[in-house]
Amino acid sequence: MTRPYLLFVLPAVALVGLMFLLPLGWLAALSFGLPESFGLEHYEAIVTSPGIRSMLWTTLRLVTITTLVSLVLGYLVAFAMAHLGETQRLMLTLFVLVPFWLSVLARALAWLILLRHNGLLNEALTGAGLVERPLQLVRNELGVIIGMVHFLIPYAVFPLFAAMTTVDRRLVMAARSVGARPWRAFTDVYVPVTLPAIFGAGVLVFIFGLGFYVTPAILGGGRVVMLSEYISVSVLQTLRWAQAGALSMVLLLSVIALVWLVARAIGFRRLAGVG
Amino acid sequence: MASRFTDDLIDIARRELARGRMDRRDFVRLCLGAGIAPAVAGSGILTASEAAAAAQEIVLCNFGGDAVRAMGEAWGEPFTADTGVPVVVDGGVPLAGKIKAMVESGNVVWDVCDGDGFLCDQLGKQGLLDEVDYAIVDKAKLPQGWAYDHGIANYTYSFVLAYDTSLFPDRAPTLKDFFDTETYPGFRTMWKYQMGAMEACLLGDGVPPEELYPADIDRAIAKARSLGDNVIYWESGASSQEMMMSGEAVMGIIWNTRASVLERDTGGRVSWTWDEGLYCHSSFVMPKGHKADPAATNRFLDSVLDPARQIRLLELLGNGPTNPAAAAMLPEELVRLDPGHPSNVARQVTRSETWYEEHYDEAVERWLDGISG
Repeated sequence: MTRPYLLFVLPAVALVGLMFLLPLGWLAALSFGLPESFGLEHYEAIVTSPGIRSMLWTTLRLVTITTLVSLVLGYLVAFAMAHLGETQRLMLTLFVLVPFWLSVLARALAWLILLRHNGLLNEALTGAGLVERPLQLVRNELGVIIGMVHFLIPYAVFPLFAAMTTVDRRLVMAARSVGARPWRAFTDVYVPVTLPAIFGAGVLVFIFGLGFYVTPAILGGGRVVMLSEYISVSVLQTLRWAQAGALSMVLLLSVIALVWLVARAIGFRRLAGVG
Repeated sequence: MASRFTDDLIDIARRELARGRMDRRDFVRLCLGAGIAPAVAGSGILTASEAAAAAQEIVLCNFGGDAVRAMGEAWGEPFTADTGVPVVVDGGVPLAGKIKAMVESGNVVWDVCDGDGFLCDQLGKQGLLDEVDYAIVDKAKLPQGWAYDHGIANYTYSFVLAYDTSLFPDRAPTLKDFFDTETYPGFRTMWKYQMGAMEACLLGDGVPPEELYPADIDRAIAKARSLGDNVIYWESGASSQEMMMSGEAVMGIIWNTRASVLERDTGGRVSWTWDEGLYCHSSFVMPKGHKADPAATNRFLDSVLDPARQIRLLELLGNGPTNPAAAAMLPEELVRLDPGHPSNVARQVTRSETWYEEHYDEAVERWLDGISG
């Protein structure tokens, strides 16, 4: 009975195979120097080249900081959303979602106009005499983190919010009834219950963060070069496709490893939000 | 939702194409725009007559923005008027990587691509470009060395020192001033992708112009880093213009095309000097196996060297003529704008195409590593 319907997914499978898996295999082959030769020198370069190492370190550092900040802020927003009245919840959801729909480019430029040294915020601060000289908020790593956190917060908020709505409120009440202060009930009961969601949201934000391109390029002032941009330059400008392939494979495998890790820890169905 | 819409779009387009109501190249562009590989979407639907029709137009790819309209007006329209062959200008940003990918995929959509002069030899030696037919293109219209085996110099441009005149009311700054953040505080801006910036760093560090090449990349990086937090690297020509326009940067090594627009748009608050500029030329190349009739493409390349048309491009876009005959025909008000006018060339340093041909990849990579992190 079901067999004829299996045919219906064939085009989709063929599409993914032809337009995604096939090029991916080609990319993997390229990264080993094929078809001209076979070698691991492009993978070796990832470990030995000081330039690539420092770029990878910048990427990891910024993505980690971004993930942590996004989780803390996202947790607060999700907590508020889960425990506010219906109207306020709707308002908050809207505030989180509306920027989510804006293009990443528009958002980066908006931050630039707001935060640059002759931007709105600095003009207001210096005008009011609060600071002597403009604060350096963009065109550096801080700017990249601000832009990335702003982009990634929804990815932290929604899984956390989904988890919080399923938390059994009686658990907190039970903790209170045996004498726990509100803060203690929160840290010892509420947070542990939402821990898998925190972990899942963290990995989600981290994975998205690894692939950022536009935000660091615009808000970093040119001095913050992250993985995606490095790959793009190698592909489009310097024609080092094998090196770009090796870096892409490393990115892909790290993402797969992360997803696998979460799937092991909290279950894939829960990670995908279908559990 | 979005993907269902694009699928539908492609489906309609495919039917239009089969009925001959849509040009094959428009179809390819539509597919590219919708993010679908035309090689797959368009397979098996090109009849022989359609292929012949596609060969009857020239697709010119450049770096977009105002250049799409300007090159269409200065070069495309007059060529079509002469020959009847339409020229379609596509602002598809024909970076070397894209040309390589297109040639290797065997589906060459672009017939003529805009690219730096040194790419003619660099990509030509990799077998990615078609040769220029100098029986059709008149070599005499170009200076010595600008008629490459695999391309012709199409226009000139420069990296120039642009500055805020409120900081320099009486004289133009020098590159020494550019690196003197004590005396002249404020942000500087240079191109993130090495070119022009590296040369400015070396000249500013005291390297004599005649010893600029072979370039000491590490020395340039050290000089760039000495600017510390006082430098913002520009990503695109538009962003360099915006930084100078808004006053975020007070000095910049930017393209002359942007500098002249800035001077006009700020009413002279921002100006520029040709002194210590880096004089470069761009080129038109033909990706290997391009679909248009090579006789037509070569004829187009020859028409690009017409001095009147090159002057028209200078007027529209700020990119200078490569045909030396243009200098004598230049109206007085355009002399200051032409990077290649002998009076302006004398004040600049000329980019070494041979050095870039050999070292561009390495230079960009080391530069990016050096200025970041």
